[in-house]
Amino acid sequence: MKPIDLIKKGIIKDNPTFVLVLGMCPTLGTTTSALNGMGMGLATLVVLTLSNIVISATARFIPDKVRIPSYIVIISAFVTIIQLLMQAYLPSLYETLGLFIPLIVVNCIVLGRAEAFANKNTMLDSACDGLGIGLGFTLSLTVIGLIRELLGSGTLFGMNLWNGDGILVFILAPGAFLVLGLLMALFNKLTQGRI
Amino acid sequence: MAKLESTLKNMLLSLGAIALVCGLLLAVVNALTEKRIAKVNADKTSRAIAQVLPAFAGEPVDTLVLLDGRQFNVHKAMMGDSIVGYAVEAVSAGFGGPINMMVGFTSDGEICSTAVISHSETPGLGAKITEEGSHFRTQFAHRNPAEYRLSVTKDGGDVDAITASTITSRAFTAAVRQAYNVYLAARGEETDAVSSASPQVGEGGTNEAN
Repeated sequence: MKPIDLIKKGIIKDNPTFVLVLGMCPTLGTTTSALNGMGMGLATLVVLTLSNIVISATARFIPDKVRIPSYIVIISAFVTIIQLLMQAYLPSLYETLGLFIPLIVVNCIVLGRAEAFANKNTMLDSACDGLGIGLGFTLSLTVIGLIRELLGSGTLFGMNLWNGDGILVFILAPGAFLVLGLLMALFNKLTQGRI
Repeated sequence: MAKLESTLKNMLLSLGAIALVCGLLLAVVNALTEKRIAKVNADKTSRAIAQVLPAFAGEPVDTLVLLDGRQFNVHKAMMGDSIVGYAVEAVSAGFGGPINMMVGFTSDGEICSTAVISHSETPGLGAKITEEGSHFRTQFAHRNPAEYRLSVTKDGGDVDAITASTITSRAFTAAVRQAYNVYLAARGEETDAVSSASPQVGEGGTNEAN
């Protein structure tokens, strides 16, 4: 498959949120605003791409029986590096995402791609796969965050659209499930039979 | 390219090597970002101090105050020789996690202003404690806790809670109350130190001689 097709596949056909339904914890937890969702998506994208590249490069030196702990060590190293860099250079984003950054380590998308793709494909393909899946995750989270923010607090990327409160439930956990479910249905409707 | 076989030696070597490389990498990144992270945090603290106190000159003097077996950071701000006020760091358990606050007191015991340093309250509900200029925040300003009852109206106090966020409002108010107690202790320590300075020196001297 060509690199561009791999990237497209990650966004549409293998969309981690609406098709694979992986990484639901950060999806539901961080999407209270479009910006938070996007920040989480981008942080995951970086970790996913880097870990895919490194795992693809080292896979043949890793004996099968210790591959999972090896992948986890590699992934957590990248997550910690991102966390430290974010703390130093993007403190405001770090404050809002705080707790969820270390949780990228246990995001099934990252380990899932390492196990399902990166350890048996070339470095370039793995990088594209990570980029595609990461972009798919980022776009999905941004859209969910956008809708929840718009309905829940009446703002768009932090800009006030109207005065007064929004529909509170969309900011809370039930709203996350509602928006995710409706978007998933819409996604299936739009892509029906074509993927 | 055959995979390495899963023998004990291979497993030990590969996982050990990966852990070592990752460990080294983390050490390097930590060393590179350590100073900046410390600076970011220090900036955050000094911004919060400036926010909760009237104008002051120079760097505030940091002291640790021990109250009920816990340590609190107190920053004393000066203007020339007079004390402008005290900024007290306080923390309490909110709805979603700890709420870290800075509370400023003027030298005559009034609350000057409050600032939320970090929190994990629900956006749209408890997170309203961060809205500067809201009624909830401004009601604390220029109150003297000696006559202003620092608890929410539901609990018989004078503080109006945020609608649908009683737990957060309670936690916020509790942190201000705690800060006030720390402030009293901090001020008390200083007056104690001044008034009982001479006998303490004598006692200390004999004890040390023994």
